[in-house]
Amino acid sequence: MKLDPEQIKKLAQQTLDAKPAHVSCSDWIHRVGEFVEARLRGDELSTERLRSVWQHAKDCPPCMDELEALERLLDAEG
Amino acid sequence: MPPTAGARRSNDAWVQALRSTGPEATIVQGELQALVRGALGKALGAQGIDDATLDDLTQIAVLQILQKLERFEGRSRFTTWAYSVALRAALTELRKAGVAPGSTEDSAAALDVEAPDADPGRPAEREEVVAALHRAIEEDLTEKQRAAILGELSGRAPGDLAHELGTNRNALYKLLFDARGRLRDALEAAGISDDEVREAFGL
Repeated sequence: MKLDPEQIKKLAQQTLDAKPAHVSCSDWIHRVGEFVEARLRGDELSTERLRSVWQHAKDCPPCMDELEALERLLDAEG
Repeated sequence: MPPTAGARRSNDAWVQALRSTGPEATIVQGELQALVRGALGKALGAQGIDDATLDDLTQIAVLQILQKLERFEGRSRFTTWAYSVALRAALTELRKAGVAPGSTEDSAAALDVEAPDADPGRPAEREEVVAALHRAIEEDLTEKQRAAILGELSGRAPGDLAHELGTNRNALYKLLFDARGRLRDALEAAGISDDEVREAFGL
């Protein structure tokens, strides 16, 4: 496949739009537990690490599904 | 879910026991399996999965937990971390259900990256960004991420592209999200600022 100038320009824009403090889905899954526990305790989500979990989930519907499922589960367990 | 001995075990005790070998490891893996099954049953109950499917998902989930044990940093309860890994494993399997399997490797192998035609009028900054992007596509993306990025750029419909990659729309979205993040990281690592990218392409 050959990328033409318009495709390269589009890719550059998509790259700019990607979040700078990037957390991949594969890294995110190891942080979400910490985030959900903090949220259920009512802790302030003050660290960049925890904020990045929420930021990623907002931009990634499948991860948001997983976050919500975990939160419902832990909340039900009490 | 009623508390069990496993649920009360400390994080370190969980990890040590699961890393061990012999009868203790078997017992603890059994406890983990029971916890995960209960959690998945509760979390996925609304999706109407039967017991056999729940058993299969539990097996897959426990295997994932054991394979990823080194990634547990102790920042949450062990069981919370295990549930998050289990939910990811189970939901991924459920998302795949009903999607016709495609030949991912063939689809990815059919795509390649070539430098765009030379443009004599292109500023040097643009050349630098283009080169960095191409390098990142070739070196920093997985084969599947590369196929997703190039397929999307070529205008493939998301449903068709997901099918070609043997995945589904949600998983394709994840692939693209991760791939673009990696490209951005690569540009930063190459010392190319956002402003330089904007100026190079007139964005």
